[in-house]
Amino acid sequence: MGRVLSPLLGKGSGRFLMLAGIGLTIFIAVMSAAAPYISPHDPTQIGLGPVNSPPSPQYPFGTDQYGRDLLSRTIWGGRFILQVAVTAVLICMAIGLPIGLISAYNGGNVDRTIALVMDSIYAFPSLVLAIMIISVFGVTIINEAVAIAVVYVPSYFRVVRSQVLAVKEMPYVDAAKSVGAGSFSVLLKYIWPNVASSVVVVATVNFADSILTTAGLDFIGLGLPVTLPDWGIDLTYGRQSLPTGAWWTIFFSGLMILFAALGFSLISEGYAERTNPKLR
Amino acid sequence: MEELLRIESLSVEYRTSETSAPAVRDVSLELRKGETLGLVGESGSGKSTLGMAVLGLIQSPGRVTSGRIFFEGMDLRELSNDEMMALRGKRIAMIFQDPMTSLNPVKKIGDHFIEYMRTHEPALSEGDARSRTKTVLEDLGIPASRINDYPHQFSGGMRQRVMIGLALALRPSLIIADEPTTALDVIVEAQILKLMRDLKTKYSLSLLLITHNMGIVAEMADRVAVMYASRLAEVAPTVRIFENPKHPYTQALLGSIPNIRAEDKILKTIPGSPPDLLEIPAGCAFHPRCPFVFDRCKIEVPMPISTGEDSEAACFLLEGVVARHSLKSQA
Amino acid sequence: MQKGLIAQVFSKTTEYVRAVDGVTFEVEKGDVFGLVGESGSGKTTTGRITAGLSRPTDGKVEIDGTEIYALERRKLREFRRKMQLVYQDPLSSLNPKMAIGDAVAEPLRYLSDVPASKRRDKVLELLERVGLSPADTFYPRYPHQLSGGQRQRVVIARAISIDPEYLIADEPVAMVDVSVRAQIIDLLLRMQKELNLTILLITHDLAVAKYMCNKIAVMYLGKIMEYGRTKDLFAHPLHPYTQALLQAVPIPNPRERSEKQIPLGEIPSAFNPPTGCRFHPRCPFVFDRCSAEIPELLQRDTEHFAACHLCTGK
Repeated sequence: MGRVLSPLLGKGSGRFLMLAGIGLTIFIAVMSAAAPYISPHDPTQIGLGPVNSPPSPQYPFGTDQYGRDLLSRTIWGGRFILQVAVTAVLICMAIGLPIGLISAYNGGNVDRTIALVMDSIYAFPSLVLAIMIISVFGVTIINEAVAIAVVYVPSYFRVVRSQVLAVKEMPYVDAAKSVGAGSFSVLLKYIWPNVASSVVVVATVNFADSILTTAGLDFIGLGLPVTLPDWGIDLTYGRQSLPTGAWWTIFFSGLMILFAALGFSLISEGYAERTNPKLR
Repeated sequence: MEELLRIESLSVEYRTSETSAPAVRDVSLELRKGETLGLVGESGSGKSTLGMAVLGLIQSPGRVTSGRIFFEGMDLRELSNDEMMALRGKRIAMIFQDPMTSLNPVKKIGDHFIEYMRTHEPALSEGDARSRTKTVLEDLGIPASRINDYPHQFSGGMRQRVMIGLALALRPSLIIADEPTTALDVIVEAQILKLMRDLKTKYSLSLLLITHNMGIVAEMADRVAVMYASRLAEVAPTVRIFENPKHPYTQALLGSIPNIRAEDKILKTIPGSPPDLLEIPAGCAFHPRCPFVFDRCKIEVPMPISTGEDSEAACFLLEGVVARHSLKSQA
Repeated sequence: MQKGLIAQVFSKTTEYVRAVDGVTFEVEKGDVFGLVGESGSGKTTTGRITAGLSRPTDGKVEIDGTEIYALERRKLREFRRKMQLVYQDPLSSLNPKMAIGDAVAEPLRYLSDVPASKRRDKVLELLERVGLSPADTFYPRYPHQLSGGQRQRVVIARAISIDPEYLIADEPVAMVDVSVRAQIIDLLLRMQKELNLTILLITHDLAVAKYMCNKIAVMYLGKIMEYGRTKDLFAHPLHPYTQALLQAVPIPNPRERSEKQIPLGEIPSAFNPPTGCRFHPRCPFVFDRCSAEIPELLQRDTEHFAACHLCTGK
């Protein structure tokens, strides 16, 4: 883990990007986790305040068309999206990494076949697949996570595979085998640690993408029930209030989606920049 | 002999937002017309950087921070980019270690020469350029019939010959060769070194030969300059530097390399290793490894002192020698 | 003399390339045997075959009387305890993500009976032995924190950790700084004496081979051209290729400059080797028989063998 975190040290723009991204992400995560404790009002309560009222001292983010407090809805709104994102990434890693490692290490025709299959899945647009799955199986955290995960597994597979193919030819892997290390030890101690850092970039992009996909599903009506607090839902239905000039109904939820995706993207950018060798 | 290249107190450093490391520190050297100057050093010595600096090829994060480079009387550091470009190839040319990456894989060998010549001499016709190319190929020991072959069809040694040919194509007066044979097998290396010697004589060239291999400088160089950790340790005519090296580093180095003609030589090991340029020892950079080290060496940087005709070395041990010499002449 | 440690007749065909072709030699216990050659000579492949890492297409490798490729897999793995490799590039032969102490402990973990509790002490002892002192400061360091020479010492420590009998060193100093090479050469020779190792030294550097080896085999395009005791080989090289090599090496002594007889041309492709004697297209003494018939490696003098039609056999 220390090896993976080492790009945090030192100076340079990469570090700044990473820290900004991490800061943003932690803020959103903490906010979402602590929602029950910090939310001023019940986000689902209708008629709490006047309908579509602009930000005021009482309701700093204003209210929506049902009179619900938007600040509370914003604080609560990330939970579903984040849970989906985390679950998706975990499923992806659990599937993509071992397959990538083992397939690439063993090589041969089996590896080539799997790579071909992965490439075909990779070509599939995630949103379309997600729509298909949700339409058939319904909306739950798991279903959405699986939909996103399926499409992302090939990314992990590809990245890990290309790294493994390079690393397995290295003399130190040869040396490990000649001192008696078995395949499992070689994969665990010699191949995986040298491949791990490339996974971080994929994971963070994966996170950002799943946030946007989940919000997108909400937008087209395949998301959570309308009453539950969710940034995507607020963004979708908030649109209806726009013609009346109520900008706040979509502004804050849109901003949060942006921040969440941005946070992970910044981490990814900063990390990639930092792990690129610079001096000479 | 007339001086062709004079480097005065040249310093080059590499600087990033996080660190800075010296590559060349306060090096002064001269190369005379018609001579081969061997520039010897290990990794981190700065020898390659020095060669690149002469040609103005130092790029960010590297920077020439001080010093002057006089070539045929002109200060190269004063020249504009365009002026420097006009000089490269025409008056000073460089040969690198790895010919593969320097040749365009989709261009025929002949075209490399023809286009190169015609770019610098627009008045030259295609026909004349082609026949000149054939002559060059002959000089290089490459059959003229191969003028239409591609780089990948040539072996490593032949590609290096092509590189030498390109370096010579516009008849420069100075060639800088940076580890020209390091990537080659022993016998091809001998062929290339011989080729370089022959062409040097034929075209009255001067050669700055950069290498880590003492055998090569013994064979090729008239004078040898030894660099260590970005500074100049010693300069002297070849025979003298091998038979009577004055700098402890030169002595140690020569004592540690095996020689197939030296029977019963016992290699003397040198403790430690060349320093990381990010952590150069204070004072004389060689002091942690020097058998004769004393306190002053750890604090002060020794400047080159004359140790005889055409020779100098940067070591405090030699100050006594100079003093003794001047006492003798007074007596 | 103790009985022959390795006796081998083998060749290895990789697709259509005979990387090593009909190579035979004997190494005695305690020898430092040099396999010298330029690129494409097959020296590295030969070295790997003798280490049990690469199965030959034909022929056999006998170590201490045991034909190693006739053993079943498990037995061969055990036999590997006796043989270890030192690689050319110390940076890429060490796992960048593993502390060097752990790297040296790896062979102990898999190939020895040293219990886990004793491993660290053994590693510290090994590090001290190869000159990485104080050992406990070196143990947790990573390869990129060490110099090239230090890394090579780690590689050597790892190689001797399980008390092998046979060490194959593939260009052990080629990628080490010049001023550090003597240290590594000295270390290898010291280990050889202390542990009574037999070393197979693979190198293109004749000067290093002459210094370290008591016997040398000169290879060209997959075949041995000449082999014998070092002093004989250098004093009376029999094969034109050996003679050419000896002349071509740049000598670090300006007084030894001389007009050299350098063969023309370069090493041909191994995919399409010359007929007959592989060296004949470049040989200054070539005659008819050379392109027609492959010369056999025959004994020409005491412990001195050459494969050349010019030599009169014994």
